[in-house]
Amino acid sequence: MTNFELIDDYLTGKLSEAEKAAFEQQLAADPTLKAEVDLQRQIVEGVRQARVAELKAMLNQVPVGGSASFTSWVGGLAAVAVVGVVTVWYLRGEVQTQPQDEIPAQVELVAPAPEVPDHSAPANPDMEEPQKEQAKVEPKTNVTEKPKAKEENPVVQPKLDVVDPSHELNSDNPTVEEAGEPTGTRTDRKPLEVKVITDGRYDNHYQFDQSVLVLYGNFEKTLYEIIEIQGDEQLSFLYHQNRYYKLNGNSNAIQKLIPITDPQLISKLRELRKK
Amino acid sequence: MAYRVFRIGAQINEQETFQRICAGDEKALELIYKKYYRMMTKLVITNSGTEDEARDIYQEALVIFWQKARSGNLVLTSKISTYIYSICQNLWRKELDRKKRLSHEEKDAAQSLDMDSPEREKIIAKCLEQLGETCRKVLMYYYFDEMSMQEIAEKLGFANTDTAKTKKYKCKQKLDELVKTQYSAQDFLD
Repeated sequence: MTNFELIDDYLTGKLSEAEKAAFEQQLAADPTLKAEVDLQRQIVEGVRQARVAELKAMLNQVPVGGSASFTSWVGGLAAVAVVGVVTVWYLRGEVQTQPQDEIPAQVELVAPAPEVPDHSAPANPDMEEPQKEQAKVEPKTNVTEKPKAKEENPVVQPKLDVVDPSHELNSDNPTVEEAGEPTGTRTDRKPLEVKVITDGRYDNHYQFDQSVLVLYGNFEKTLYEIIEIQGDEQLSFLYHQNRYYKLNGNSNAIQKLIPITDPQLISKLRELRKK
Repeated sequence: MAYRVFRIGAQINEQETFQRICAGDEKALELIYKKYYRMMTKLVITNSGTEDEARDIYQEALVIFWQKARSGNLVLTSKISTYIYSICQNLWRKELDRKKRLSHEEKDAAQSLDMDSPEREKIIAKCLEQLGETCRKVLMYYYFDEMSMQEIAEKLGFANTDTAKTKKYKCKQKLDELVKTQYSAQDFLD
């Protein structure tokens, strides 16, 4: 082993205990070697710090809703005029410029600091508090993994990712009630509620039970998406593991999920998802 | 036509994300960052921190999480969010302690101690810049992300681990040279 490699291994913790002890002994006796190791330590540390800076710069590019500006943004949404601006952004596919997307609703999946959808959750009274809550929540997640442990698994709240109000805006009278809606969801109906049942009774089935969409099968394990299209009629689609499924909302029966094969429809849905 | 898309992630999705992070997928880290941004920054903001401080702490915590996950020494026994949350807590406590100390002590005395290291860091960062993209990546992956030569070869598209090893050796030599030149120039000025 050359000195170069030895120093490098020493600084990156790759030496065994015995090797390390021997090297340190050598170090104590040799001031030139010690000076070299000190320099190398600085360089390695410098490389690490540069990587930290790089990662932070990368994270800084990630669009997130600033928490302070967010409140005022929601307030501003009450005005129809602002909604108009929002629409233009969405149509251009610049969804990421919206402070609203992504963060708020998904927080529900997380135990430490539960948030409510209206984003006015009270401040954490104590920094320790979320930890305790966490401890209580943990066992519950295990239950969901065991099939047949329970009739119904905990409801996974749907998350509103993209809202395109262009339809409403194209009509001549924008509805007034929407103007006063503080949540910014801009939809007539409540977001579709989704329940996942993994007890093995049915695999890859679904059912519209009143207004709740029940998914039977392996949906707990991976990400899935619901795409709703409000045209002349209301259409719902499910995206799961690279497949698209049409959801027939006119029936209350438990239906099998059959993948869509029409390439045109698939590319259309993909487009919507990507926006 | 109006439409909306719900993205619904289940619990297990965390595991997937964690595995992606362990495999060095920076996109997965961005995903996590975005997902928990409000939750984590709130921790700092509601404990007498500014938004900037909150972001700094959160980013710092994520970088720590990244490195631990990357090095393969992290076994997640809780949710990712719980883990990151506890790092944020610790970092912010430390920062609050540091601030308290600073306001009691004489500021000059406290600062003069590590006056040197940011200066040196800057020099090394500058030398790294001169190395070029590939060298920089190799060294960062090796020293910070603690990737194996195999992983570095895969990530950067080298033919094999030997290429990665040689690259790492040469890049490090070059960096050493640059830094030493810079350091002696600095000494000369003193």
